[in-house]
Amino acid sequence: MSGMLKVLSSGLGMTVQDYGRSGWLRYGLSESGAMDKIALAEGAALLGDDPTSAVIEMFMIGGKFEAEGRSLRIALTGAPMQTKINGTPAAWNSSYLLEEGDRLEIGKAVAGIYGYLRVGGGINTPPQLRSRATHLRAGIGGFMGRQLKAGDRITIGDDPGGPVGKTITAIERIGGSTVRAMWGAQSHMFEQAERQRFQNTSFRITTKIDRMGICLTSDADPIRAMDHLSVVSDAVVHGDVQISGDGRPVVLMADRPTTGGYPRIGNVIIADLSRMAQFAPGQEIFFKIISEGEAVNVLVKQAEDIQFINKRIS
Amino acid sequence: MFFVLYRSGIRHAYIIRCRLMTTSFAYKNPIFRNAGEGGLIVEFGTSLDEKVNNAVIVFEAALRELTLKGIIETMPTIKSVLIRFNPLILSPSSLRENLLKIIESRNWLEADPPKGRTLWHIPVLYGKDFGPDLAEFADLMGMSEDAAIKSHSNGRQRIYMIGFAPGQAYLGLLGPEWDIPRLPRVNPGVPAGSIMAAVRQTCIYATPNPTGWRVIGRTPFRGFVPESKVPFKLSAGDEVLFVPITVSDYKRLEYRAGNGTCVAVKESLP
Repeated sequence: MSGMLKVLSSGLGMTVQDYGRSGWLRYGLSESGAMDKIALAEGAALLGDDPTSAVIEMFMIGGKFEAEGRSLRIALTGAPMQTKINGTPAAWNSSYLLEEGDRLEIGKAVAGIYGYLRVGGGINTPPQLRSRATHLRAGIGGFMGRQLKAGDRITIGDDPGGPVGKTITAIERIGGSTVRAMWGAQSHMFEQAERQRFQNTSFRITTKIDRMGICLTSDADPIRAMDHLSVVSDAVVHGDVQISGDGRPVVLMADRPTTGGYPRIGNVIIADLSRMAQFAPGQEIFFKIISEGEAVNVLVKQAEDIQFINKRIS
Repeated sequence: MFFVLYRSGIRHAYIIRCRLMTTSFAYKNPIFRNAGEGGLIVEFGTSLDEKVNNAVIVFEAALRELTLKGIIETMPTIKSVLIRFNPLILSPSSLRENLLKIIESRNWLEADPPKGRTLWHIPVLYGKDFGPDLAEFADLMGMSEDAAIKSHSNGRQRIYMIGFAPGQAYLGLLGPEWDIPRLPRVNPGVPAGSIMAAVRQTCIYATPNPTGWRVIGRTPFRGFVPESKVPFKLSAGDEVLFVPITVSDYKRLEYRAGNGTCVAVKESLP
């Protein structure tokens, strides 16, 4: 019998994800994919598994699972969550072997908000539009295009086997308060003083956060674009910081609409997208503007960290 | 969250309306705008304009022919083309250099539309329960519902963007009598297939969504069929003729569409 993972209970916002899908922006479909993509690489390194295979993404709180059909190798990465295996506490950023019938209980996140459960062989739900990533608003990918819920039985791909009982030193991204960004497609629509204020303002993560976007607030005055200019709906990308009608930033994320009509003052650099995703409501953040060259250098450095990720396994 | 983002759609409808009152939208030379270290926007003009949008469609089609390693995908919008690329493979400066050469190779604003476009005959049941705002819209235009239906369905409309939500098509331009503002309220949810109008434009929903536009009809045609080999039917640059149908036509076509049949008639444009 093939391996299955049975969902006994589930928190809100638990979905199947991978690196997402490209090539569909022209049809109004954003990439989707894991909010914290670094966690995908870490989990794959722990299991010696294919990084592109699909995982379960958990938002703020995990769920209860049971191994069915055969034993399953698992890895837990991303936001650390309180975890027990058959009632015994289990550390995060580690891999384990679940014997058939074993119960995995994942509770609240203790830092960050997106936790990842990878199973050796990968989640084997049918790919749609070239990816297994769930895109909730499009109703595609993952488990019937929806969030996972109690009673779901998820097929696991063939696992050639590999190590368990390993630990990884996570790539630093959960915590801190600075997010690096570049000036964006409509920065020119903000006066110099407003751009300066954008960099100096202490923003807070609100509770309006999901896979589409992250709404920020602050005690400072709203940030205003020059009012004689306005924007026609334009392409928006992952990480765009748009200034909404109330003068507060919204950072657009993996499941965003593909176009938007608010001016975008900046764009969170690719290397900081995982960090951006992991901020919890109430956390303070600052945007630090860097140049395009610096952004590429930071990305090169992060790509090297991921290339040599096995050095972090013990 | 959807609502917060959604409001931007309403705002742009308003802006387009304001801009329709001016005349020139095209830049002499397209402008590069950064969209992060992995995104570049080539902007051809300031607003909705047939010439600008045509340049966008032709330029984006040319980019798809281009085999430049590192380009992930391209996306045409009303007035610009987004290029997503991997900056670890293709440096932003090298991409800009390559694009400049292409931009300078011809006058994109005067270019003919690309080959391979489709004219779609899309069946629409106008008015009543399927287009609850048609009566109000016709009233605002000072014409009868029948005249409004005739006006909406008697000429080709051009798809100038697929965007915001999966398969969501924006079409135009309708005659000046269709320059009616969006609703002062948001309708929290209209079904897939809804045909909406505002500010001389038509919008076709392929998925259920809120709207600030008036719903004038519904099509049984499914523009987004995830299980199909061609999941998205409509493309930017395609043209559409809306074909008025009756309730019994609708029921019949809806049944066929439910079985996976494409109920819009396709015609290749020269």
